[in-house]
Amino acid sequence: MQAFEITQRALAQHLRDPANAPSLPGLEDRRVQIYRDLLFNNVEGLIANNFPVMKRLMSSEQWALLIRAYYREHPAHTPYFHQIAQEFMAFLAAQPALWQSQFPFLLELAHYEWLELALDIDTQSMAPSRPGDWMSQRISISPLARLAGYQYPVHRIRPDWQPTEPPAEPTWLMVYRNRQDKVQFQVLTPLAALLWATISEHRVTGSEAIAALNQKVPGLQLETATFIATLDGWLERDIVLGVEP
Amino acid sequence: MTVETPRGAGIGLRRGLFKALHDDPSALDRVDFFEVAPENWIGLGGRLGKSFARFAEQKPILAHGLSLSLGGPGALDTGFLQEVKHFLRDHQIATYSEHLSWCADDAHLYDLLPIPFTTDAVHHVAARIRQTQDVIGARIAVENASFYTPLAAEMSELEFLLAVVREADCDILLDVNNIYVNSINHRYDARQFVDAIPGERVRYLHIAGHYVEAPDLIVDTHGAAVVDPVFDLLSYTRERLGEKPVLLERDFNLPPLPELLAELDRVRRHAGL
Repeated sequence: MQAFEITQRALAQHLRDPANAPSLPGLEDRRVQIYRDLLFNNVEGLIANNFPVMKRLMSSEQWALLIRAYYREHPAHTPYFHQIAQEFMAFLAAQPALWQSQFPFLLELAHYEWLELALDIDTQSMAPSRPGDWMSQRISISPLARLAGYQYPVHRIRPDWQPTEPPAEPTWLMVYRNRQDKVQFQVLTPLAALLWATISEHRVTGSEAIAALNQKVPGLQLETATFIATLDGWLERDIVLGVEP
Repeated sequence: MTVETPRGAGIGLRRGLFKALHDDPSALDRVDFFEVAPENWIGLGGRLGKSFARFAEQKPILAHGLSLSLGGPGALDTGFLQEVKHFLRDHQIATYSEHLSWCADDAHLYDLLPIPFTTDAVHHVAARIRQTQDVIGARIAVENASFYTPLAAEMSELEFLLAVVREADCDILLDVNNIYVNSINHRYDARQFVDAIPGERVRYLHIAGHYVEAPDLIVDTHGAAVVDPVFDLLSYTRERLGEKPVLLERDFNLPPLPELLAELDRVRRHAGL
């Protein structure tokens, strides 16, 4: 390794972990301090922009410790600023000990906040709406709709409402981008979530979907009217696009 | 190949400007070109991607990179460079510039750090610039970056810049504010720095505001209005190097658009545009 590279790597280590990795000999500390502040504030700002709810749940000390741990320990490889959220989520997933006792829902909340932003900037677009006969024609779903299942009702978490244990029932959230390019969500019943799983996994008609569901869930008698009302509602919200040509 | 950089004066295209530009389309008449960071727009769709595409169609675009880490240890990210190349092609961008600095070792730090000004580092950086130019298929321009502490310097910032440009056969994006900032931070004569720059290599100029941390320590924040001494240095640069396009950088504390455009008019007057 050449001398300049040794210098660079030592400086990078110091800036990631000023408390443990020493600064370089001979450097004026108030000048190095500029870099310590610039780099930390930059990465803090990038993550805060992606996870505004998460930041508000924590004291400024807790938040700063979490960001510092991320910067110190997580090797981020993306050159794209809008992908830093994924890097941060990967870090949280790898380091549950940092958050699990005080914020047991944190990784799920991070996923939800990330999903909203990911859909906001997704490069896919929707085909024009094409209403038809739900029962006999194959249903066409939006590429900008995602079903997320969480142990915690992450959409309700706020500084003054932070559950310590998951409720008995999981939370199903349909997160989607509509034709006005606005990201929205809808809370789904377990049955609606199952219905979505059925129509999004395979290209099926409504009749096929109902038959598959009734077979999958013993005792379920899903009525055609309920099914159609659900699909009509999803068409209105741009969660489904209609039927396939 | 001929490199066509638009004439005149431009501003950075930022999300924070979209609404004002949308509400007052006539503002576009007062901007000759936009500069964008490819890292902010590659792979970005939705409402932001659409707004970007709409403005990018109306004005020439210059690409000013942040994440390539030309001066960094570790391997050059050639996969990323290919994506930059496609971005340049898709938006018909003729000018790609990067900083004469580094932002990653084996992982990204997401900010710009100074290169030790040594002979070995000159060879290292020049080789990476050549590799970049081979992929892009055109000369790039490297920016004289602001820095706050020297690292193991065998030569001056100016000697380092000139040696890299000579060895890499690249162009220069001359940042006038950075010359001013560095001249205070590292006690040199800003005008002598300008005098030594080969004008034919200068593709365009940057100008920006900064933050005064201490009388001998200025931080290049792009978060304030351009100060008079920097405007004076711009006029001096115009006299010495001839007419060059100028980009006004403003990344934080964005003023209302009319105020930014008034500052751009002042840039034009000082740059003789």
